[in-house]
Amino acid sequence: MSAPEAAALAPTARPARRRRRIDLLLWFCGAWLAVLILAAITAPMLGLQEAQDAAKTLLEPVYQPPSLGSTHPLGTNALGLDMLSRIIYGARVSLTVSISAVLIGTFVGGTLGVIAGYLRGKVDRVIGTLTNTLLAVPALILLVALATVLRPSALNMALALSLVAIPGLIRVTRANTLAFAQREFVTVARALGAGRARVVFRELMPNVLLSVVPMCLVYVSALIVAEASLSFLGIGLRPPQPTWGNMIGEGLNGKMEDYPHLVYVPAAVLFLTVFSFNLLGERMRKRWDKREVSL
Amino acid sequence: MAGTGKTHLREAGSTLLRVEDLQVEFPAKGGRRVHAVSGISFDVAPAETVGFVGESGCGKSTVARAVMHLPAPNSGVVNLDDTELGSLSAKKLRETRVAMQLIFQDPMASLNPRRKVKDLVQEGVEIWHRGGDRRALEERTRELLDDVGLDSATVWNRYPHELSGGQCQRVSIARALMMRPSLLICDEILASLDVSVQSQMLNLLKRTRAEHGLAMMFISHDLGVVKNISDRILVMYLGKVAEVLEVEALDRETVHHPYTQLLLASVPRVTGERIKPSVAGAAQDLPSPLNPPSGCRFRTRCPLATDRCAQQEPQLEEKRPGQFIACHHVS
Repeated sequence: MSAPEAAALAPTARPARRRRRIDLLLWFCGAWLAVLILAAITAPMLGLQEAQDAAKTLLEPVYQPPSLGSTHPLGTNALGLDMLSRIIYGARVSLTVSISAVLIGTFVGGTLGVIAGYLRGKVDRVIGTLTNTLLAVPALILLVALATVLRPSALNMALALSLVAIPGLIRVTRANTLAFAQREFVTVARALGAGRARVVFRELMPNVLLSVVPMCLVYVSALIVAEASLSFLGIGLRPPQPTWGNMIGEGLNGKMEDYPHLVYVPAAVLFLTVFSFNLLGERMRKRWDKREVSL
Repeated sequence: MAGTGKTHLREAGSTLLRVEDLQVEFPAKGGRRVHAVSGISFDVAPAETVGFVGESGCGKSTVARAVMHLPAPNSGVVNLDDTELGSLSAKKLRETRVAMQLIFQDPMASLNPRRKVKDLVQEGVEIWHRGGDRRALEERTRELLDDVGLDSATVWNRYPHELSGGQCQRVSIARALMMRPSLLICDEILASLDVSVQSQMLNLLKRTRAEHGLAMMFISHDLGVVKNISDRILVMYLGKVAEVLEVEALDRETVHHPYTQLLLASVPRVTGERIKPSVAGAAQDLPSPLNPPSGCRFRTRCPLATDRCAQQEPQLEEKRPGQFIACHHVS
């Protein structure tokens, strides 16, 4: 609300220039994510080189280093599969798995958190104990344990990864619920006749979930890394299906020294994506925090 | 300052709301208890407005919420139309208390920020599926919005943050009226509005009260406003009733409870002279409701206090026609 006023009052150009530079970074991150997501969605239509089936790449060069002009702009791997194509198909897996994990986590964690924060009492204690139990187990160990039990499908990965996001989301939604439940509109809704379920899902959830959107973006980036870690360790999705993690894993056994692009290309993409999600989440959090204060 | 007396209650059949010995306590740190409301009785007749005055922290708002059972009082009887709310099942209670509607002080916090005005006003109907057909519902909603002084065409699709405080308060009133309540509980609804909007709201309330035949509990710290709108006034002090009076009593020469006198003396007047606080005790704070004074709770600030006030709690007695005062020394 006060932003345009402040800009109009600013006597010098310096603050304005500084703001523009920050925006540039944000736009870059947004554009990167947009391109990546768009490419991942439209991957089959892009006419990409072979990403999975090594039988079709018998005639292709192996370990070709990246060269932007060629048919393999980001190079090829040990089987002659195209790296660009593998990155994009890997993005499909990595993004779908981590985003759906966060969605599952937000729904489950959000519901439990709001219920705990609104009902308090015994329910709160039970959910609190559950949260602390999950938090007490190191995330990676939990994932490794789950990955060894579950079959490595995309759905199972998403479910396992959502367990990492759930406890944090329960905590934050619970805390936000405590604040919102004090507001008069909840009391008014009850006076109008709203029952518990309605208060939780219609009054509290829309408000609370909106306030955790920034955190969800940060979780997406964390889960992309977690998924990549599992794939790298060979307990996530397995080759030939490409994911960023198992692509980095291809550089193991000394191959990275001879063909560094095997690792650098997927690692750079991973870095940029994680950075972008984090930055976006952080910026959104700041903007919303400001609005909370001005309220 | 007892207010434990019930002599001021009218016959059971003639009242819409009858509250007896209402007690609300909250747990505080160290196992202590906040005695927010300690044994208040009052009644509200159909189409009557009862004003509640007292300082901040005297338990006015707690009374409002306890009457609604949001949350339920620790003890006491709340009868609405001869139905005892405390004896009802949760579901029946939700159904019954729709006949009472609450409006709060903070206009913004009273409206869900993620809902549009039309959805806010129709919320209650939506809960009970009382809508009938959508056309009639929309028509009634628009009518009510226009009635409370909003332009229904403009605000229909607005969110609360796009409205002013006064407009939000009008939306709250329309939302309450949508349920066709018989009792409207207004909890300090003017306190956060500026003076010109306050008088508009007072006029609006008076008009809607007449049109809908509403009874009202009007809670305020401002004696002037309460006098303007009420038929009867309940003066509260630290969770007790100090005095119950017909509003006419304020205009005639009469005796009052020392606390009522203090309140009357503190109503600002525009004069050329500098006004000194004339009544003793005016500048003091409310004692802690964690550990209220024994006997008469007002005695720590009362110019008339004696030993008797510390030992014996005064009861509400009719000291003048239409005036019930809980004080040993006023006769």
